[in-house]
Amino acid sequence: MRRQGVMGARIRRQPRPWRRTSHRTGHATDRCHGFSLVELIIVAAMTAVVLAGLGALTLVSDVQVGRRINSIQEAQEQWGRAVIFIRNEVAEAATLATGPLSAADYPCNGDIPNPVLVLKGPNTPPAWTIIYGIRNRAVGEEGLYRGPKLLIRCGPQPLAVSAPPDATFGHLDPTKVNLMPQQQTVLLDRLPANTPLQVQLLGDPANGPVLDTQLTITMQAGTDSTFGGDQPVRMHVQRTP
Amino acid sequence: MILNATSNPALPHGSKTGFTVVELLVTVSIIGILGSLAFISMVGFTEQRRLRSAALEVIGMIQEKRAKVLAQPLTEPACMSLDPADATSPIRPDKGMTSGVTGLAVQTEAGGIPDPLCFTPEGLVLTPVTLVLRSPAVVDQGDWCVVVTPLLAQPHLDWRPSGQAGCRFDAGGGSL
Repeated sequence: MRRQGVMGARIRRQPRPWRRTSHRTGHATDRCHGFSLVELIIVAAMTAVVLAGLGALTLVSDVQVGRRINSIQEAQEQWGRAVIFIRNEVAEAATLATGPLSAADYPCNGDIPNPVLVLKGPNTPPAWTIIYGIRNRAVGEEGLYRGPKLLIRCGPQPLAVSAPPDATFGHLDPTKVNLMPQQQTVLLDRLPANTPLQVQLLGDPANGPVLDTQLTITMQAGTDSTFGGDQPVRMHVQRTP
Repeated sequence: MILNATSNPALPHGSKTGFTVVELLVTVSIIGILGSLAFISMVGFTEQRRLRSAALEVIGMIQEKRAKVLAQPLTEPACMSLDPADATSPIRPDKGMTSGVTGLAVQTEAGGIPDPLCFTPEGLVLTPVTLVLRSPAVVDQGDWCVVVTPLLAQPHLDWRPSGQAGCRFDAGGGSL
């Protein structure tokens, strides 16, 4: 069937630039030369998928960056708290020592930590000992603690109520410290596998009580962010006359 | 009924070159279904973000309470209620919770009412505390947890997938 013009003249349809054409020999056809509905839907769907994918990637990336920053900030704050806490207890000790420890020297349950920093109270009874050290994360603790190593504290549980304000001690009341249960507490997780804790005693026990130490505690927030381990923290026993 | 998709004057009147109503309805329906699915998914995502924001707000409140304890020369433990039903608890929408979670529930891991969180005067916490924040809109996905561990009282976020008992940091929380 040929299309007829007004005067009966044959009209050859001119292909438009945006139209897909199927002209082969110049003969006019009855086919519609535009895109079909199916084609349009497919193109629209592909475009939507690409745009949605790009948007989702951007969103997920932003969220992950935010979570990573939060994680680093939280780890840094935890590291700071741990350092202050250990420093306060070091100040209450009478002498410092290091390991390795035997089973008889370790009053808490579980694996003996290594390396360790041992804080010993005054010789006047009641005596007390606090041990800081590194132990491996145990099987079953994967969902509780991050990182392969944990910094633990083994010692008397701190008092719930501080001593009177005029006292020189904090949560280790020397008149009650022997009554508190021995407790192993995880102070820090997210410690790396290699040398998370380095203890250097500044003094020789043969020449008298060791009063100073330098600790280097390294934490790891994420896979490529390590902090705290670039500079040791010096801690000093506060001797009272 | 035929709708012409072209105004080409060369085509005779009545030529079937446009989209039919059926085609348009099918197209609109497909778009509507896809849009509805995206909207439902987006609502869940938004609610999860709100719930996580609420957990971060609770962490901020715990940090604030600890800072106040350290700033005051107290000799007694200072406690804060973690029960939203308690009028003294800061975890209430009328006391500054701005995350806007509808029907926010704060529970223990076992589903009970959480005990107050008590700090020693040195800002320590002697017993671990785990709060589970739940929203009815996304309870089928999971809950956010706020865990406060002794002794340093450093709160952090965990995630409890739906149907599991414990909060774990490595449980994910999706990409939230």
